[in-house]
Amino acid sequence: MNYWSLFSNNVIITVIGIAGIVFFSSFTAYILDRRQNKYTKFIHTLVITPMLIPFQTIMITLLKVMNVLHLSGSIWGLGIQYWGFGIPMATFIYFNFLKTIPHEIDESAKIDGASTIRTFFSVIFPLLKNVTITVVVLDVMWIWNDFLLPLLMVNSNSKTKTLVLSAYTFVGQFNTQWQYAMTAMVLAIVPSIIVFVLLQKYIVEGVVAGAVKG
Amino acid sequence: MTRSTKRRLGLILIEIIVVIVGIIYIYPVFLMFMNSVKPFREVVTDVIALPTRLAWETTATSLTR
Repeated sequence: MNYWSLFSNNVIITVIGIAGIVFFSSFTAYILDRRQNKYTKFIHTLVITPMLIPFQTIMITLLKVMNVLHLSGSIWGLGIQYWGFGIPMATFIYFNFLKTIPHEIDESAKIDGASTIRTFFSVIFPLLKNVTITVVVLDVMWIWNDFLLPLLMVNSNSKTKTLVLSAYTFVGQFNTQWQYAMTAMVLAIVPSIIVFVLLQKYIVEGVVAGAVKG
Repeated sequence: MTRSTKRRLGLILIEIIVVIVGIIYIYPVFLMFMNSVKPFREVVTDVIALPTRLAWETTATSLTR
Protein backbone atom coordinates (compact mmCIF):
# COMPACT_ATOMS: atom_id res chain seq x y z
CA MET A 1 0.00 0.00 0.00
CA ASN A 2 1.20 3.44 -0.83
CA TYR A 3 0.35 6.40 1.38
CA TRP A 4 -0.51 8.67 -1.53
CA SER A 5 -2.89 6.19 -3.17
CA LEU A 6 -4.65 5.73 0.19
CA PHE A 7 -4.65 9.48 0.63
CA SER A 8 -6.21 10.00 -2.81
CA ASN A 9 -8.88 7.40 -1.98
CA ASN A 10 -9.69 9.36 1.18
CA VAL A 11 -9.78 12.64 -0.75
CA ILE A 12 -12.13 11.22 -3.42
CA ILE A 13 -14.49 9.72 -0.83
CA THR A 14 -14.52 12.90 1.25
CA VAL A 15 -15.01 15.23 -1.74
CA ILE A 16 -17.89 13.15 -3.15
CA GLY A 17 -19.50 12.92 0.27
CA ILE A 18 -19.13 16.61 1.12
CA ALA A 19 -20.20 17.85 -2.34
CA GLY A 20 -23.39 15.78 -2.23
CA ILE A 21 -24.21 16.65 1.36
CA VAL A 22 -23.73 20.40 0.84
CA PHE A 23 -25.58 20.52 -2.50
CA PHE A 24 -28.61 18.43 -1.58
CA SER A 25 -29.03 19.57 2.01
CA SER A 26 -28.71 23.30 1.32
CA PHE A 27 -31.15 23.18 -1.58
CA THR A 28 -33.56 20.93 0.34
CA ALA A 29 -33.46 23.24 3.35
CA TYR A 30 -34.06 26.26 1.11
CA ILE A 31 -37.16 24.78 -0.51
CA LEU A 32 -38.48 23.43 2.81
CA ASP A 33 -38.06 26.84 4.45
CA ARG A 34 -39.45 28.98 1.63
CA ARG A 35 -42.47 26.82 0.76
CA GLN A 36 -43.96 26.00 4.11
CA ASN A 37 -47.14 23.95 3.96
CA LYS A 38 -48.27 20.67 5.49
CA TYR A 39 -46.50 18.62 2.79
CA THR A 40 -43.14 20.33 3.21
CA LYS A 41 -43.48 20.08 7.00
CA PHE A 42 -44.01 16.35 6.60
CA ILE A 43 -41.02 16.08 4.23
CA HIS A 44 -38.92 18.14 6.66
CA THR A 45 -39.70 15.65 9.42
CA LEU A 46 -38.96 12.80 7.04
CA VAL A 47 -35.59 14.29 6.07
CA ILE A 48 -34.26 15.05 9.55
CA THR A 49 -35.66 12.02 11.43
CA PRO A 50 -32.89 9.64 10.20
CA MET A 51 -30.54 11.52 12.57
CA LEU A 52 -32.11 9.37 15.29
CA ILE A 53 -31.26 6.05 13.63
CA PRO A 54 -27.93 4.57 14.79
CA PHE A 55 -25.72 3.40 11.92
CA GLN A 56 -25.08 0.02 13.56
CA THR A 57 -28.77 -0.90 13.33
CA ILE A 58 -28.89 -0.57 9.54
CA MET A 59 -25.36 -1.50 8.47
CA ILE A 60 -26.07 -5.11 7.53
CA THR A 61 -29.13 -4.29 5.43
CA LEU A 62 -27.23 -1.36 3.91
CA LEU A 63 -24.44 -3.71 2.87
CA LYS A 64 -26.98 -6.07 1.24
CA VAL A 65 -28.63 -3.19 -0.62
CA MET A 66 -25.27 -1.84 -1.79
CA ASN A 67 -24.31 -5.31 -3.05
CA VAL A 68 -27.51 -5.40 -5.11
CA LEU A 69 -26.79 -1.90 -6.49
CA HIS A 70 -23.10 -2.85 -7.17
CA LEU A 71 -21.98 0.11 -5.05
CA SER A 72 -20.09 -1.88 -2.41
CA GLY A 73 -16.35 -2.22 -3.02
CA SER A 74 -16.19 1.12 -4.81
CA ILE A 75 -14.93 4.41 -3.42
CA TRP A 76 -17.56 6.26 -5.49
CA GLY A 77 -20.27 4.12 -3.94
CA LEU A 78 -18.87 4.77 -0.48
CA GLY A 79 -18.86 8.53 -1.10
CA ILE A 80 -22.50 8.40 -2.21
CA GLN A 81 -23.49 6.48 0.92
CA TYR A 82 -22.27 9.34 3.09
CA TRP A 83 -24.95 11.54 1.51
CA GLY A 84 -27.62 9.50 3.26
CA PHE A 85 -25.93 9.73 6.64
CA GLY A 86 -24.85 13.38 6.40
CA ILE A 87 -27.86 15.05 4.79
CA PRO A 88 -30.25 14.94 7.81
CA MET A 89 -27.93 16.86 10.15
CA ALA A 90 -26.77 19.25 7.41
CA THR A 91 -30.38 19.98 6.39
CA PHE A 92 -31.24 20.65 10.02
CA ILE A 93 -28.37 23.17 10.34
CA TYR A 94 -29.14 24.87 7.00
CA PHE A 95 -32.87 25.01 7.74
CA ASN A 96 -32.35 26.79 11.06
CA PHE A 97 -30.00 29.31 9.47
CA LEU A 98 -32.26 29.97 6.47
CA LYS A 99 -34.99 31.17 8.86
CA THR A 100 -32.78 34.21 9.59
CA ILE A 101 -32.50 35.20 5.90
CA PRO A 102 -35.41 37.52 4.97
CA HIS A 103 -37.81 36.41 2.23
CA GLU A 104 -37.57 39.88 0.71
CA ILE A 105 -34.18 38.92 -0.73
CA ASP A 106 -35.84 36.12 -2.72
CA GLU A 107 -38.64 38.42 -3.79
CA SER A 108 -36.27 41.09 -5.10
CA ALA A 109 -34.37 38.42 -7.06
CA LYS A 110 -37.68 37.16 -8.46
CA ILE A 111 -38.64 40.69 -9.53
CA ASP A 112 -35.31 40.87 -11.37
CA GLY A 113 -36.37 37.76 -13.27
CA ALA A 114 -34.36 35.07 -11.47
CA SER A 115 -35.74 31.54 -11.30
CA THR A 116 -35.83 29.60 -8.02
CA ILE A 117 -32.62 27.75 -8.87
CA ARG A 118 -30.88 30.94 -9.98
CA THR A 119 -32.05 32.75 -6.84
CA PHE A 120 -30.68 30.01 -4.67
CA PHE A 121 -27.27 29.66 -6.29
CA SER A 122 -26.62 33.33 -7.05
CA VAL A 123 -28.23 35.04 -4.06
CA ILE A 124 -28.95 32.70 -1.15
CA PHE A 125 -26.08 30.20 -1.29
CA PRO A 126 -23.33 32.86 -0.93
CA LEU A 127 -25.09 34.02 2.26
CA LEU A 128 -24.75 30.47 3.64
CA LYS A 129 -20.94 30.62 3.64
CA ASN A 130 -20.43 30.29 7.40
CA VAL A 131 -22.94 27.48 7.77
CA THR A 132 -21.49 25.69 4.75
CA ILE A 133 -17.99 25.86 6.27
CA THR A 134 -19.39 24.44 9.52
CA VAL A 135 -21.04 21.57 7.67
CA VAL A 136 -17.87 20.96 5.65
CA VAL A 137 -15.59 20.89 8.71
CA LEU A 138 -17.88 18.61 10.74
CA ASP A 139 -18.37 16.23 7.82
CA VAL A 140 -14.68 16.21 6.80
CA MET A 141 -13.74 15.23 10.36
CA TRP A 142 -16.34 12.48 10.30
CA ILE A 143 -15.84 11.08 6.77
CA TRP A 144 -12.03 11.30 6.80
CA ASN A 145 -11.72 9.44 10.11
CA ASP A 146 -14.63 7.04 9.64
CA PHE A 147 -13.78 3.39 10.19
CA LEU A 148 -16.88 1.20 10.25
CA LEU A 149 -18.52 2.09 6.92
CA PRO A 150 -15.26 1.79 4.89
CA LEU A 151 -14.53 -1.48 6.73
CA LEU A 152 -17.85 -2.86 5.54
CA MET A 153 -17.77 -1.45 2.01
CA VAL A 154 -14.20 -1.15 0.68
CA ASN A 155 -12.01 -3.36 2.88
CA SER A 156 -12.04 -6.32 0.48
CA ASN A 157 -9.79 -4.65 -2.09
CA SER A 158 -6.42 -3.07 -1.23
CA LYS A 159 -6.86 -0.50 -4.04
CA THR A 160 -9.97 0.95 -2.45
CA LYS A 161 -8.79 1.08 1.18
CA THR A 162 -8.73 4.29 3.18
CA LEU A 163 -5.99 5.64 5.47
CA VAL A 164 -7.74 4.52 8.67
CA LEU A 165 -8.29 1.02 7.27
CA SER A 166 -4.61 0.81 6.35
CA ALA A 167 -3.71 1.49 10.01
CA TYR A 168 -5.90 -1.46 10.94
CA THR A 169 -3.90 -3.80 8.66
CA PHE A 170 -1.03 -3.62 11.14
CA VAL A 171 -3.29 -5.10 13.83
CA GLY A 172 -3.36 -8.89 13.62
CA GLN A 173 -4.89 -11.71 15.60
CA PHE A 174 -1.56 -13.03 16.89
CA ASN A 175 0.83 -10.20 16.19
CA THR A 176 0.36 -6.45 16.15
CA GLN A 177 2.97 -4.09 14.80
CA TRP A 178 2.17 -1.25 17.15
CA GLN A 179 4.87 1.10 15.95
CA TYR A 180 3.52 1.00 12.37
CA ALA A 181 -0.10 1.10 13.53
CA MET A 182 0.54 4.22 15.61
CA THR A 183 2.43 5.92 12.79
CA ALA A 184 -0.28 5.02 10.28
CA MET A 185 -2.92 6.45 12.61
CA VAL A 186 -0.97 9.67 13.00
CA LEU A 187 -0.54 9.94 9.23
CA ALA A 188 -4.26 9.27 8.81
CA ILE A 189 -5.51 11.94 11.21
CA VAL A 190 -3.02 14.72 10.46
CA PRO A 191 -4.86 16.04 7.34
CA SER A 192 -8.18 16.24 9.19
CA ILE A 193 -6.49 18.02 12.11
CA ILE A 194 -5.04 20.56 9.65
CA VAL A 195 -8.51 21.16 8.14
CA PHE A 196 -9.96 21.56 11.62
CA VAL A 197 -7.28 24.02 12.79
CA LEU A 198 -7.62 26.13 9.62
CA LEU A 199 -11.41 26.31 9.72
CA GLN A 200 -12.27 25.99 13.42
CA LYS A 201 -13.15 29.68 13.86
CA TYR A 202 -16.07 29.19 11.46
CA ILE A 203 -17.52 26.23 13.37
CA VAL A 204 -18.86 28.17 16.35
CA GLU A 205 -19.96 31.04 14.08
CA GLY A 206 -21.88 28.64 11.87
CA VAL A 207 -23.41 26.60 14.67
CA VAL A 208 -24.74 29.65 16.54
CA ALA A 209 -25.59 31.56 13.33
CA GLY A 210 -29.19 30.34 13.25
CA ALA A 211 -29.65 30.29 17.02
CA VAL A 212 -31.12 33.78 17.39
CA LYS A 213 -33.86 34.83 15.03
CA GLY A 214 -34.62 38.47 14.64
CA MET B 1 -15.41 34.58 53.47
CA THR B 2 -17.03 37.19 51.24
CA ARG B 3 -19.30 36.38 48.31
CA SER B 4 -16.73 37.53 45.71
CA THR B 5 -14.03 35.31 47.28
CA LYS B 6 -16.38 32.34 47.18
CA ARG B 7 -17.17 33.08 43.55
CA ARG B 8 -13.49 33.34 42.67
CA LEU B 9 -12.71 30.06 44.45
CA GLY B 10 -15.58 28.41 42.58
CA LEU B 11 -14.21 29.64 39.26
CA ILE B 12 -10.71 28.39 40.12
CA LEU B 13 -12.16 24.98 41.05
CA ILE B 14 -14.07 24.81 37.76
CA GLU B 15 -10.92 25.76 35.84
CA ILE B 16 -8.93 23.03 37.60
CA ILE B 17 -11.64 20.46 36.75
CA VAL B 18 -11.73 21.62 33.12
CA VAL B 19 -7.93 21.37 32.84
CA ILE B 20 -7.97 17.83 34.32
CA VAL B 21 -10.75 16.74 31.96
CA GLY B 22 -8.83 18.32 29.05
CA ILE B 23 -5.69 16.38 29.95
CA ILE B 24 -7.70 13.15 30.20
CA TYR B 25 -9.12 13.79 26.72
CA ILE B 26 -5.83 14.78 25.08
CA TYR B 27 -3.63 12.13 26.72
CA PRO B 28 -4.53 9.20 24.38
CA VAL B 29 -3.81 11.44 21.38
CA PHE B 30 -0.48 12.43 22.93
CA LEU B 31 0.31 8.74 23.52
CA MET B 32 -0.47 7.97 19.88
CA PHE B 33 1.83 10.72 18.61
CA MET B 34 4.57 9.72 21.06
CA ASN B 35 4.40 5.99 20.28
CA SER B 36 4.45 6.68 16.55
CA VAL B 37 8.10 7.75 16.86
CA LYS B 38 9.19 5.01 19.27
CA PRO B 39 10.93 1.78 18.23
CA PHE B 40 8.82 -1.40 18.50
CA ARG B 41 10.64 -2.69 21.59
CA GLU B 42 9.93 0.52 23.51
CA VAL B 43 6.28 0.55 22.46
CA VAL B 44 5.62 -2.93 23.81
CA THR B 45 7.75 -2.63 26.97
CA ASP B 46 6.51 0.73 28.24
CA VAL B 47 3.72 2.50 26.40
CA ILE B 48 3.69 5.66 28.50
CA ALA B 49 7.46 6.20 28.68
CA LEU B 50 9.06 8.91 26.60
CA PRO B 51 11.09 7.66 23.59
CA THR B 52 14.82 7.19 24.14
CA ARG B 53 15.36 7.94 20.45
CA LEU B 54 13.11 9.10 17.63
CA ALA B 55 12.54 6.18 15.25
CA TRP B 56 11.59 8.05 12.06
CA GLU B 57 12.18 4.88 10.04
CA THR B 58 8.75 3.61 11.15
CA THR B 59 7.18 6.65 9.50
CA ALA B 60 9.10 5.99 6.30
CA THR B 61 8.07 2.32 6.37
CA SER B 62 4.42 3.17 7.08
CA LEU B 63 4.35 5.47 4.07
CA THR B 64 5.31 2.69 1.70
CA ARG B 65 3.86 -0.49 3.27
